[in-house]
Amino acid sequence: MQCQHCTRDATIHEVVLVDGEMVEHHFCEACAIENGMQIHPQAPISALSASPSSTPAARQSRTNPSGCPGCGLTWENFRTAGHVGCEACYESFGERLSPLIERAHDGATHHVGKTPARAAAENRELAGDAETIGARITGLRKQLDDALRGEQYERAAILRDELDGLLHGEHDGPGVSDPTTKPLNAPRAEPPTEPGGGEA
Amino acid sequence: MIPVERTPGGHGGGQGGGSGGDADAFDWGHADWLRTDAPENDVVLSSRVRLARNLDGHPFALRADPQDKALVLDIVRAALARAGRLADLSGPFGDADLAARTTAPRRGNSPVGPRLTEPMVWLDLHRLDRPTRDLLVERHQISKLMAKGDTPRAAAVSVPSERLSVMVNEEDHVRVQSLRAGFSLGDAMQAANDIDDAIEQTVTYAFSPRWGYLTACPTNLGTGIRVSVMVHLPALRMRGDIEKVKRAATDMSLAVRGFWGEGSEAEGDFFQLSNQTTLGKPERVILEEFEREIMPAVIDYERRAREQLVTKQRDTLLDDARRAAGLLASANLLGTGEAMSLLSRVRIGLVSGVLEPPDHLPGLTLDTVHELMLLVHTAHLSKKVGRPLEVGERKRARSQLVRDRLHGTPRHTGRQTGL
Repeated sequence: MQCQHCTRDATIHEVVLVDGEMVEHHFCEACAIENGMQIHPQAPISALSASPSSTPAARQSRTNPSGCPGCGLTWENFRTAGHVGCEACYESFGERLSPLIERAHDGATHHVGKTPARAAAENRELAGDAETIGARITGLRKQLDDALRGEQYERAAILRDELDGLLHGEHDGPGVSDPTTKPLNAPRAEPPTEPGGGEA
Repeated sequence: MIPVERTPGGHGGGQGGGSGGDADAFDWGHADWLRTDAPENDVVLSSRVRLARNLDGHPFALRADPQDKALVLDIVRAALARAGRLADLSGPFGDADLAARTTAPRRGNSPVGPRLTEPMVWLDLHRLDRPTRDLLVERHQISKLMAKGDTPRAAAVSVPSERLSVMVNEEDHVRVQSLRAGFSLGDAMQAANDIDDAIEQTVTYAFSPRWGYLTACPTNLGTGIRVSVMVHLPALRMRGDIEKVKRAATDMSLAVRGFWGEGSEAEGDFFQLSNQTTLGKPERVILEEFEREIMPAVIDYERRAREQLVTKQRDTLLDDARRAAGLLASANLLGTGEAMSLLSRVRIGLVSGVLEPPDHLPGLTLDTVHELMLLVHTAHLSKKVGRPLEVGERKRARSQLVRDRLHGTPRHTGRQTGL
């Protein structure tokens, strides 16, 4: 089933009562966030997409119980391709993968070295940030399409500026819900220059 | 700070390579990472550090559909933009309503100073035409894998130096690549780490305490790092010692590849040495092994072989370099492999001090040799001529280009020469 707001697959389904009647809504995860759904107040959205119900591949895995619950990849798929399908594969096929990994890495069994600055346990709140940006981009593109189809060119120009701004790193700019904050003929923000310090 | 100059109105339909980004920002001439004034440049042409990363919660390439890939593209692009690393986005509308040009100040022969952060140009590869993608492959900015296929994929490339690139939706979601001229792994590592950290300000990487950074292929697990150096080993090849080097490299869990990396054969005695294992050792140790053990031994081995050649077979070495220069300067049809082989023979003559540029070939310098190592390849020739070329035409165009460069005035690496 397709998301009501974009062309992605709908993976989140909502049933609400409106005037006593049941109304169904179908969203992809990006549009669900864009439309203000509280999908799970504590967990990052990324945790949802790794869960058995959230990806197209995962739906496929339901018909294949031996597949990875994260993406549906089977051990045979892995043997053929030599690649895993998602991070959950490493848990799903851990026992079978371990000897292969050790052999490939001269007997090493554990990671030593750089770790992500934000440990997973500490960044539940931040983890959704990337998804939020993705969701905003998706939502803005959808709204822009709608505006153009509806010949709402002034609104389209504002949306276009906002999308441009987001892609230029101005993520904290005004929301689409406040289209009056930028005049139509406002000059575009200068593209970002590099910060001092770091090395190319 | 590098000033970024806005060009109002953009390039209109003149964007190089289609609507996939500002490919016009590229010079397509000499690459900074092939500069000749770099550490240990007589043997080591360039150093490279690559980091493989994936975004948590998003299917990897094998299981991702085009929508999944498009979302990954959007997220990484926004992450780079938020970090202030993108110089220019031509707008999501394909009409190039924004375009930026970099006017980077230059220090010495380098187009950018060592402590400056260069802006990166974002290229939607799936929207670029194939010749432009092939140009990026030939310039070592994207992999051959990235050039094929039309599902959403992109690369952010630092301009004008092309020392740093971020490939999105290659085998892994994110592949950071940092290149430096000569033997300069520390600088390459630092730049790779910087951009890795910058991206991670926005995204959450797939990571496990046991396996480290989780990659599509288990052979890249752990640090996800690939350290490689491109070396020129003509003397060892002439002495028949290349097999010894390869065996020693295998014993140290190193891979020996050709000029184009994975899956390529050595062209013109140029080899890439890289680590094969990524789990169980920290990045620092992997780097130190290259810096303190592996590379000093390889460099010393090649230099000693060269010294012996110069001492005992000077006439033979000079004869070989002069014949190669003569062929390059006069051939009417030149294949790629032949050109690379001849350039290699000229290079050993120049760096060993045996070959002096003759008066009638003032352009015969090490800078020219390095420049031609990029420009003689197919996509570069097609770009220069302005259309796709048949094999025979290519050979003619290649020989013409080489003759012009050798007979022309010397060029210096610091100049971005263009086509």
